[in-house]
Amino acid sequence: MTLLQEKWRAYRTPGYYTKYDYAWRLVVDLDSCTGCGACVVACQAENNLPIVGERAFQEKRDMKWLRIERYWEGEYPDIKMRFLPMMCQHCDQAPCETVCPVAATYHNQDGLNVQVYNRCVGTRSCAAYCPYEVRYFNWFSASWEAPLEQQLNPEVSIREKGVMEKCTFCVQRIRQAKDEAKDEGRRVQEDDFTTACAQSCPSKALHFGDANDPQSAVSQLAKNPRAYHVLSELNTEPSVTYLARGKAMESAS
Amino acid sequence: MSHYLHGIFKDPEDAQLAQQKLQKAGVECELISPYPLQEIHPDNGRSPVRKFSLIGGILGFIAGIILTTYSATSYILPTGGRAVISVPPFLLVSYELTILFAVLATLIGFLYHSGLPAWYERPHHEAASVDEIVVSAAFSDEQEDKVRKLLQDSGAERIESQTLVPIEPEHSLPEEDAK
Amino acid sequence: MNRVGNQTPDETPPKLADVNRDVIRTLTETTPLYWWTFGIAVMVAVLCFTLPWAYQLVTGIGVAGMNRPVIWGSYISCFIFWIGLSHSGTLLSAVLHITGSQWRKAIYRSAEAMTLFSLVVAVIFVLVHVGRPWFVYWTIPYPNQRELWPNFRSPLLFDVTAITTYMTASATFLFVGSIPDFAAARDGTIGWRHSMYRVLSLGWRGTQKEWKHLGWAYTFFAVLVIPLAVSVHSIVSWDLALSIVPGFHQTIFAPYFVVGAIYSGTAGIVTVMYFLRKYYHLERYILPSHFDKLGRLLLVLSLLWTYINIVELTTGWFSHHSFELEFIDYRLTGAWAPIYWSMIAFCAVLPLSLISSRVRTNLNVMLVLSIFINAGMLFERFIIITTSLPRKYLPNTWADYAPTWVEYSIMLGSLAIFVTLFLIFVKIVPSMSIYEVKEELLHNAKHQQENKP
Repeated sequence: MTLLQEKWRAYRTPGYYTKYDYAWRLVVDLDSCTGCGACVVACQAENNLPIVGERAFQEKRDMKWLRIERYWEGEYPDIKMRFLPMMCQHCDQAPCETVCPVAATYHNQDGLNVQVYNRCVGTRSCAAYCPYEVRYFNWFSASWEAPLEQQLNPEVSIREKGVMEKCTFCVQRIRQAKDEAKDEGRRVQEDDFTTACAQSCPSKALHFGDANDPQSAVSQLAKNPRAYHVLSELNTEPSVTYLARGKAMESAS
Repeated sequence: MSHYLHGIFKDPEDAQLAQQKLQKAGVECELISPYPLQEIHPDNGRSPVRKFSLIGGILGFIAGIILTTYSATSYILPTGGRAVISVPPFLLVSYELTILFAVLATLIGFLYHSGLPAWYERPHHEAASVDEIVVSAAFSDEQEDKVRKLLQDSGAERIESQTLVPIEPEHSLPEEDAK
Repeated sequence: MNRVGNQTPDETPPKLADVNRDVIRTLTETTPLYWWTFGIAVMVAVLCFTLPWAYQLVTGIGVAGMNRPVIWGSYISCFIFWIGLSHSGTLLSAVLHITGSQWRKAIYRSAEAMTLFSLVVAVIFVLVHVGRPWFVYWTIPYPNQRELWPNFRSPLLFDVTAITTYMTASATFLFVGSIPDFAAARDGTIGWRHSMYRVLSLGWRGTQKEWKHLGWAYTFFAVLVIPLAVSVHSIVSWDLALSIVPGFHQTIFAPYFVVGAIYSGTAGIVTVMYFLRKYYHLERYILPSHFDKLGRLLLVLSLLWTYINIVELTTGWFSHHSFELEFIDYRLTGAWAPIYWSMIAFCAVLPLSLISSRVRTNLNVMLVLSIFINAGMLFERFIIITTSLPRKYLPNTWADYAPTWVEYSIMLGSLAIFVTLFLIFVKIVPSMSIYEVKEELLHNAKHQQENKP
């Protein structure tokens, strides 16, 4: 009886499955971001993103798991540009997860919002529900011309037409790091690995790490008073934290 | 072989009377009409189909609860920070299944109690699907004259007879095989 | 009696035997016009639906015009439209059955058939919409060795259960109500039709026991169908309303969709009744008074619909939430504004003319109005999808959407599928309830006798 009660309480507590082994977080320091786009290219190369071409780009069918949104402020010549790197926010209360009828997207034990390509039937409702517009649909099957298919990452599967895809926080790297750590009988350390975007950022604006480790950079940076979540009023509880541009930088630029 | 006499009536009330008389005389008979004769059958009684609907509905609700909670807990895929057993959505699914099961059970109850489907030949007269009421009486040979007279006296327009060949029972096994 | 030609309103009510003959005539006698319409409908269905869909299946959903913010497009709009159209048939029939209304009897069969076939077309649109239709069966809770069940927390799965239930219930309601008429058709036809109706009628004879159980079962179906039909379109609205998209995330969506569904469904019934009456010569059964009553219903529904539309915009505007304001601005003045304002004209302004009884009893005007209302309701479904999704939260992703030829063609083809199914239906199922019309005639005759002395 007590077992049943215990189980019932567990199943009824929304937070019960949030006690994950790891809690992967990304911190974007907008002070350091120069909008160079190295992260976009790195993501493209790492995750086998198809090159859709100019026409599809104009039709708003580009495939960039990480994109740099540009917002202008003011009128020419007194104009300022701001960058907002936007990738899947891996929300703890993700609107996209509840709506999938076949549970192709769910929260895994690492606190990641994962997308199971094989399970996806392509209702596209997750993308309609996503307030950040970071879910990308395969309108057609992608193909790579002759020499280009040689540079595909063997760790990442190629998605076929009709499935949804999005930023995975480079789940293949997380898996590899976890396997290695498991072989050595320890937890994943801060400098074991990082995502492709964080690795390639020349100004070190992107920080990736485990928030369950209080000493990690992401845990420390999350306490920064500049930290905020995009569209936090929607209560999606994103895993990506942005550090707002400081006042000093504002006046300098 | 069984024989039937169909007394065909224009007036539903005459047919009703004829049926009562025949039943009093101990003859099995049925009233066949092109539309329900509820008006002359005020106490038509409640149909046992009701129970099927109720039981079907209850079963459907239970099935919905079991299906949703079992499938959510057998392979836990947490979504959207919601509880594994999320009550409002599961109640919604159970609500739909309640109606689905109730509808199917009502259908089964209706078919069961009215003896359908019956694709073999049964006592029936075509006039009963147009505008006349048929009193169809089953009789043994010695009763024929009595039944015929009763129907005529009750005001039957015409009387027609129907002979049905009973359905052969399923071929039983030859005796050697049975041993 | 040859009654081909114009309506004759002062005609004497038909006799009971006429009912059988008139209805069975609609099943057995086929005019060249029928064959032409049928042939054209089948051809359009094949050319405009099957071929573009096959092209889309082979190439990818990309041949349709959807893009990243407007990830849903015409297919979901049409899905909602057809589900809505399905709503009046069974719902209206059930409500009128329970309230014991007499005028329902001549029209409800075709209305219920409309329900069933609209649902079929709606389900087809789900298949057209999804990226990998060959895996759609994964939404069905079937046991498998990996215990991969569907996600019952998803509003899309509420839809799956609701629509499955609705289809089963409507089909059962339609079939059980037709059993006595199949029996009448069986006794009135010969040849292959006789054999077909013999099977369909399940051996119905019309004994009092059968009638009693049928009456009870039928009433129970009606009672079960009413909450079901209301829940179905509420659930369809929750596909949208459970998101956090401005324009979708509205508490009024469930009643809004239910009212809209009944509105377009009633208009659909008027259209279908007009053609049945005209081309099947059922002038003596489908009377102008039926159109008059449906016209009143349409007027009430149009006012309700207008009210809810005002509420929807006003609450958004009153919130003074910048995203809501942006979305309202886009809806009223953006790329889809002409469609929005024609929707207002067709569904809110034109139906006001129904206040005049001359309009309600003029069948041609009623036909035009009903078609305009349904066009407006199709626009409404487009407006909901195509003016909310393009203006979501991040302005960087804002984009417009326009359907491509594939989508237009599939829309036209789906209409042809509906017409085809309906044309097959009217040749197999008596399109008017024989036994209930007889009951009504007897009832009226009795009334007249009582009123005479």
